Amino acid sequence: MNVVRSTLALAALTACASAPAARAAAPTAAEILQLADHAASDYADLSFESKMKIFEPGAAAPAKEISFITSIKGDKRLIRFLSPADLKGMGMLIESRDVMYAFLPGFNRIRRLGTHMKSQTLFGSDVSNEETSSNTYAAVYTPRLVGEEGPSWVLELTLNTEKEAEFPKLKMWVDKANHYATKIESFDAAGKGAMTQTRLNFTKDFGDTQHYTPATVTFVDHRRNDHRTEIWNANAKANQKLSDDLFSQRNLARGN
Amino acid sequence: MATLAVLCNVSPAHADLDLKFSGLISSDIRYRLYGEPIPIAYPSQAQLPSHGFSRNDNDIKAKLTLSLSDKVKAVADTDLYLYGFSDLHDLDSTTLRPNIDPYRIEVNAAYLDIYKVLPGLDLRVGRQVVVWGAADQFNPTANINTLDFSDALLFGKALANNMVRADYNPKGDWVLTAVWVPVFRPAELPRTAPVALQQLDRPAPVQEGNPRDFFYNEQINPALAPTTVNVVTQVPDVSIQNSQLALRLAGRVLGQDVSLSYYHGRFGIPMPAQTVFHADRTADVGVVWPKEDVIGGDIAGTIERLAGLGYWIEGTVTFPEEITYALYQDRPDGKRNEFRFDPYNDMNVLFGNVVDMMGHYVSPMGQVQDSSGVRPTVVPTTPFLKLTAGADMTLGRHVYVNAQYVHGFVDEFGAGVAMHPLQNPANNCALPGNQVNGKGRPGCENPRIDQRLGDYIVAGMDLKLADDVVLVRLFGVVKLPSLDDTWHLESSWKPTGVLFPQLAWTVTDGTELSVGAFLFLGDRTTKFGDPAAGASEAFLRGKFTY
Repeated sequence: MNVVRSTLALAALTACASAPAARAAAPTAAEILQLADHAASDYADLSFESKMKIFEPGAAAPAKEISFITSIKGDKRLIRFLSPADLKGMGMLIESRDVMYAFLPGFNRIRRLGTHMKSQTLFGSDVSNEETSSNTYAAVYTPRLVGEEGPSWVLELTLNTEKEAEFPKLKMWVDKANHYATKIESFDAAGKGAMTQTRLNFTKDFGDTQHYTPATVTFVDHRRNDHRTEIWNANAKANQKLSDDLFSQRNLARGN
Repeated sequence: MATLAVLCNVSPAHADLDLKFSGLISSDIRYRLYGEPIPIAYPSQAQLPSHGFSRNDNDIKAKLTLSLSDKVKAVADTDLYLYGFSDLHDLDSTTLRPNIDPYRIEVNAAYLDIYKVLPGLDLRVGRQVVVWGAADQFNPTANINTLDFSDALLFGKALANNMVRADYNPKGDWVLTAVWVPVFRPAELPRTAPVALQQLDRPAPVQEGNPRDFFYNEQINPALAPTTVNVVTQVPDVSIQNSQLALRLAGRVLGQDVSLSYYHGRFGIPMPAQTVFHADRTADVGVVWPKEDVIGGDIAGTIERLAGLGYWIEGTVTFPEEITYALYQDRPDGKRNEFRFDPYNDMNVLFGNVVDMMGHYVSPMGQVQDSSGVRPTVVPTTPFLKLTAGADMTLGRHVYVNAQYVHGFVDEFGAGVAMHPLQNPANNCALPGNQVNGKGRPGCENPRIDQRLGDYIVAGMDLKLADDVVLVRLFGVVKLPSLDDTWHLESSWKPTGVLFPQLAWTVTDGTELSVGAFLFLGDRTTKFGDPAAGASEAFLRGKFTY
């Protein structure tokens, strides 16, 4: 659905761009956010391997490492954990922002997760379940262009009424050239900086695609004394014609 | 299995064979607290005293998963448990390693998956566990596998069994599952369970008052009471008629996960169905596993208006097979008297039913005749409801809470009433020494009776600390007074419950140490204070997962 929406938005933007009057005009905040969402989800399907490294504040070596494989198609995501051993075999199926399932191999069952779990972090990291459930923002936030910094537009995103998210306000840096969001700062209800997310080293995915995946994503949680989580992504493959069946509960229960 | 894994790794039979090997090594030391002493036979050192070491296990688990492309997967999952107690009866046994160091093997899985046998159809054949239901641990719709009650800390663990499972996905999120279990496997009961039939201060689970009192007076009368009670299991025949069938349709409606299910089979916990009093003052109690048909459903989802509260409701209506209770007494002539009851006269006892060695009712002259009267009821055919409704929520980053209302605990079966043992068997009103003018003296004790299907609150919380490295967990069960229009037994309620505090420390990846206790609360006449339920234990466990 996001892909469809983003494609329509891009088509609208392209149409606007071809109009002489619009050609010179700078894109609006809404258009920039649509471009960023489109860039982030410009694939029919995507899979990649990740290693998550969790650092205590000030530590140079990670306290914990978790590896997993993520598969994405439309709104649906499947995450299968490969290590450490006590997480191996566990899986998560995210069908939308509000529908999530976990496969618990120890109990041999799938459990639906209430959306209260969205704000919980993954295994002591700084990455919330909500963060793993979506990489687009236009449906949930209203953007405002607050400036430009070097090669980036800077947007301020405010949570739409009747929408729920962990953070009511975000600040997003969107690269003018490739439209990828390279940095996101999150603020709590009091307006205090809560989290900074940095995306670096965008690398072109394997396959017939123009999509790039950040090789490193860093989360710094300022509420936890700058507790840090790094996610190292590799082997991203786009448009592999992943089957819809891959994103079913039935497949989730099959385990790794 | 490790050797097999290595061999397969070296020379796979198929080029695209994917092999995964995993497992755990654990140690589990338990100390029993304030229990009623119960002697057990094996291993001889593993006794259940009032207090003392009750478990000293080591577990070596190995799980092997073999996949062939996306088409086939085979899984074997085995635990090797070392008891940690010796089994020494004589000097000869000290020369045998199986007696010095007894062990057991549990096979949790040995199955084969074949995906897309036909479009949308998957098959799983072999030893497996099929878990149905949306609730946590208390799943009235999960009847295909019986439960492992041998360890209270494994509460809710199912026993694997051989079966054939087919999953058909006709459209979207909808999945139709069919399961066939050729041979029934009973539940594994706790080591303390036989006490429920061997202690004579417990009335037979007979629903009608007069027969129950008649049996009870027989079994506790010092002049008649058996000195030894043997329990004889009447396991269902291995036949096609005794195989189990189950169907389930699961999908999503309006964003909520829903399912409907049906099960035809047997309940995993046996019920007493007959007693034979022998002339040598021993008694044989026969137990059977009741047949049942269960229609169930569940729904689970999330309530956004309540901050994303997760909820689930799961319920069943069970149509049980009737179980009646036969009481026989040996006669000197080789025949038996059967005590039956008059359904037209308040179920008062009828004498004169004599059964010969062929099982025929005979007259005093030896002529075959019809029996008179009826047997009393253990399980009536009345359909009964089991229900679990619960919710969970996270509070901030560190606290998770979970609460469920449960109607009908996992070991409860049938409509009607349940009988409990006495707090002080010597104070039994039915004992002749405690009677005055044919009635119990003031202050004596009668067996407590309450609803067979109880009502419970199961609730607890997790507190995660130090970046999830430390987990403080406290869960508990409280039995509620049951409200009913039929029996009006609210006044017989007594407080009882379970507390399960635990502190777990993830030392490093895959390595966990935990200490805690499983505490049964309530006096001897209550659900969890009953010695047959088990006794409180403190534990220390270490686990490494690979």
